[in-house]
Amino acid sequence: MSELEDAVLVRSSQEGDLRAFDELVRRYQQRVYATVYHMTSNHEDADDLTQESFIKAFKALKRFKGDSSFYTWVYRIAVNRTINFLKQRNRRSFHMSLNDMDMQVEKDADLLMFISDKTPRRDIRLNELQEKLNEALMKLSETHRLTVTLHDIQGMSHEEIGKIMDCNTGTVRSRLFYARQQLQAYLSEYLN
Amino acid sequence: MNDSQQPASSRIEKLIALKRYECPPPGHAELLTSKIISRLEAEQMRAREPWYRRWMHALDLNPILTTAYGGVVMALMWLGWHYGEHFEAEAPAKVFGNAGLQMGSLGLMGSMSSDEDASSLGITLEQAFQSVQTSSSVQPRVHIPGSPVPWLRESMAARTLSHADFQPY
Repeated sequence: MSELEDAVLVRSSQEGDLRAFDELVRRYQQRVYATVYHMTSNHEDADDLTQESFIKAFKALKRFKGDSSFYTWVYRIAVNRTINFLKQRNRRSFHMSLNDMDMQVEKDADLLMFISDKTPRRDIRLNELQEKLNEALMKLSETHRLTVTLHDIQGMSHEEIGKIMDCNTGTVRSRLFYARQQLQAYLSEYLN
Repeated sequence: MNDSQQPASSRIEKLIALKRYECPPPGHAELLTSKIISRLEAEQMRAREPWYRRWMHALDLNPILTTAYGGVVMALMWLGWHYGEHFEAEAPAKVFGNAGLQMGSLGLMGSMSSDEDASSLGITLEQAFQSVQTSSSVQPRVHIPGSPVPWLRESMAARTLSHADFQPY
């Protein structure tokens, strides 16, 4: 089933075939989860929101006309749901529940740039850096955080982000520029 | 180019990109998929159930709906109690014919503006009162303690009386 195109699986899912939808979930759930996780900085919230997004997508699948790809469409559902959730969460206290860093990170050359002996901040540890990064991201507005997440973490193009966020590429670029400026200010101690 | 000579925008991009290494616990992907599919299967099963089971399930799942339902039931009970008490308080006036007297009086008052007018009709208010009290519409009020609802007590009393009227002597 893995070689089948999304459109075929979507058509079967629209007829109520859960096996076809299961395949679609397998294809995209990790990327959707990762985006929601970077937006919320909380594993449990990301888990719940990803589940709800796919369940909502299945229920709304009959209205899916195929104007965009299934991937973009389900992303849009997840993003809207996450932004609504964050607006409610901002009114109450929240704690970060961060996932562990993959051990591969220690081999990353860029990491060495930030925590190697050459830098003035050689005393920082990986966990501390992770926390600071998440704290800085959480200080951004939802739309700026989403733009940074989709571009700098998920590696999406400006066009894809524009489709997901329902805006043009110029807006995506300006949001990205502004968000990076903000992050530079919040994380200046690691950048100098 | 040395790391420290890189532009700040490039360095911040690299720093943010480190978040890619944050991974969920092992097996999370499989678990998440099975959670989504099992929830959808459960919903499909539920859609085939009769309406009252779906309704009960919705009450189980949604605390807001359950609270709202409880609130509606409580409000209806309070309204029933409140109006029941209200009718009970008004009941003697209706049963003993005061209402009839008032209506009769209103009829009289509608046609006369003073005592002189009343005497010109040839009746007094006392006569009108007596005529209403002795009319056949007057019913004694009997309390049936078994019934918790006042208006039901009265209707049961009326039913008991009418039943007794037909008993042979």
